[in-house]
Amino acid sequence: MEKVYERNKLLANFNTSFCPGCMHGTAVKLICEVATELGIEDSIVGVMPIGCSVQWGMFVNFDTFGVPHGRAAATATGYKRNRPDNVLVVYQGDGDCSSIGLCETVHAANRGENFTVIMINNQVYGMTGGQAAPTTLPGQKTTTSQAGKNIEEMGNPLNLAEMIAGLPTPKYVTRQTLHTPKGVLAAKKAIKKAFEIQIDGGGYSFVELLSACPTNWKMTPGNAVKYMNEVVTKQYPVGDLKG
Amino acid sequence: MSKKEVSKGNEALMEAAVRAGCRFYAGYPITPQTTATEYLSWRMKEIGGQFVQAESELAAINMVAGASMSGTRSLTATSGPGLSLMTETLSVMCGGRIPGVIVNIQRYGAGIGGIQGGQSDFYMVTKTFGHGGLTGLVYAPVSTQESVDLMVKAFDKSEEYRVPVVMLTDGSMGQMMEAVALPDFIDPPDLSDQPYVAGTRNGRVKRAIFDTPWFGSSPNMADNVEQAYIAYEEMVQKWDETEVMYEEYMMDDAQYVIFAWGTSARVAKTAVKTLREEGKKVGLFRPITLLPFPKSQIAALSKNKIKAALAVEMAVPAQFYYEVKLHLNNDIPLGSYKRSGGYMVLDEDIADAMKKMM
Amino acid sequence: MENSYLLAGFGGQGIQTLGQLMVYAANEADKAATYLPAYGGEMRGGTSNCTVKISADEIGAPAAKSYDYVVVLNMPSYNRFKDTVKPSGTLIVNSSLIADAKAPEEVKLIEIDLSELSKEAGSALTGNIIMLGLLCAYVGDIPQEAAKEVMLKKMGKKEEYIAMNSKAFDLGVRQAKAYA
Repeated sequence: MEKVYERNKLLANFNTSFCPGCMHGTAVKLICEVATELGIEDSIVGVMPIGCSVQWGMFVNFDTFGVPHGRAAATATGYKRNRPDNVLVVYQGDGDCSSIGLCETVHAANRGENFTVIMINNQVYGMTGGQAAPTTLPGQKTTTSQAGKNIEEMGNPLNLAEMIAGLPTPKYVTRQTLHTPKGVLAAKKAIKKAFEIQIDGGGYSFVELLSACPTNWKMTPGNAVKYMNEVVTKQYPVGDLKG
Repeated sequence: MSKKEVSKGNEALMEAAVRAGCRFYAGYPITPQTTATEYLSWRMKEIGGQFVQAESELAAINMVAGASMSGTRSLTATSGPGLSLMTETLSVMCGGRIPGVIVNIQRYGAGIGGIQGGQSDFYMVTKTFGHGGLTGLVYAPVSTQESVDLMVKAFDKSEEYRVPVVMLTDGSMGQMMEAVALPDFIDPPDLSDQPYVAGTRNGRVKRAIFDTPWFGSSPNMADNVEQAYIAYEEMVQKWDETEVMYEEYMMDDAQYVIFAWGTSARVAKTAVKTLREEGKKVGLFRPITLLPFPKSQIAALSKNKIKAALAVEMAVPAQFYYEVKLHLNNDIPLGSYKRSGGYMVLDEDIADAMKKMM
Repeated sequence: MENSYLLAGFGGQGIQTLGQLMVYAANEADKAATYLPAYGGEMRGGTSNCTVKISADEIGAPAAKSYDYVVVLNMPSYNRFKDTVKPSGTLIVNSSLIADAKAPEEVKLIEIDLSELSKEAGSALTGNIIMLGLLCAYVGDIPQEAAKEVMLKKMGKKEEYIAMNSKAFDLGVRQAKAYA
């Protein structure tokens, strides 16, 4: 019998601890598949940030290093400058990347550091129990916006990919979604393009991936997908923004 | 050792780092550290290393941590406010057992304080590196010459124990010019197999470098963390026996002791000379390592021999004074002479303060 | 034997350069020397000042309460530092900007018209070099030859500068003889 599919070797041989309906697992799997396809299994290195996304380091069979909350792009800068031949994946959530780490994120992008930032945007702080993030949608109920996010007080959603795309230096900026099969295929293509740019020494790429957080959205995974289709993607349109 | 050349303190110290095999520097400009950052902005490129002007001290120390995890000897320099910003990552580096050297070119006071020299960061680096109670080593050179001599050691010890190492100088030392003999060049060591270095697989499957020792021999994370911290404490306690450095000057027959560190100790030496010329039996005890602090050496000073002592520092409220008091025999009266506001301690005043206790 | 100097003037009179040149020259002569730029709480009043120590042995304190030689090149510096000369020390004032200078008892007063002398050297900017020559010759702890050589090396390669600075240094040395 012909083997048509097997578990990617870069993925750990056990189940992830991500919640049902969460799309982190999909993103991690895509990273591993792209690394295999590009033959960079021995040179890929990941950054473990703070938040739910930190867990990805447990589920992959390559080196990862932890960083303080928000500082991923700075630590990555120090690493990559000295190991230019390794392919560095800075994997972050939206709170880490666009709130506490906004300064480091923007400056690394502006310097054109030769690594790939993958930001999972689920519009909440997941690990800490669903507080509002800069990405939280107007009116969205979270544990710190219990009557719905009031933009007068908390600001509008921060469209980070658009901000980064406004800088002259970054080579490739895109937003993709993980809630449809078509979206997953496009996300994989985007990750591959970003890695290829990095391998060629081309510079900085930013890949934002929309994900659901059914646990903190207090929805079923099915409803979360529907909500992403009808609401989330309206605030965060999918597609290439630069490069 | 090369011939002595006249050099600014900050620049000589940065050159010493380059000669010690440091190949990565990230820093954010802050007075009185700026000449150090400016120097390495061109010097690192010349030597084939990397220089990054960071967007903040937060970023700078994390760049250093990242460079260390690439296996590169790495350095940052800052001053008090910047060190405050760095403390979270110092804690992370202790927990993750990641090396790196941090030079704190102290300025005085709290908040923005002032740009002139001071010694008021003593507690901040001798009690805990940020939250959590873990620490690395702290060196407090008395002069530019001693600072350059300690630079290789700072990197070696940082890597040996896998902890961040802090070197405390101050604004006056950084701006002062005097002749310095720089150490010889050494090649950067190969650190690629070190457990804190990522992406150098050499046949192994994976390495997760994490800032908390969750993973270990036990399936229970809490047990692993506790065990790791017990081992950490044992390591720090051993430093009391192996890593303490101090200088005793004219202590053999001393009946009075001046305690001082860094620039204050340099000034105090002049006071000791003056008092000796007046026939007073005064000596100087100077810690070179502030962490580990020379506890037992201070405790060993006999009340039968020493009639009084004086702790000198450029910090108000006093800090070093209380550390000395903690270890000095309670029967030996200990006075405090201290200045802040950017005023340097003066040898005439030190001599007067000591004489008042005679 | 350790000598301490406090040098003060307004920014642009070359006070910091003077202090640094003294340290370079002392090092050439294998003496210990320190230069500490205006520092600490005393940094106010619009003056630029620094302290220099020169010694045959290791130097401890780089600053002091009072100095063997206090050099003041403008009026605010004179007002601030005239009383920081050690008894039996020397107060050196730039008489072109400081009229009717008085020194405390037991302190020797030297008045030197730097404006006039620097005109003779060829540039108003050479006051600090004249002072370097004067200090070397008058105090004697820095050998004149070493000082002149290192000064010419540090102060620019253009021939006209070399000639001008060389002349300025010699004028300072000549002037020192008048006070010996």
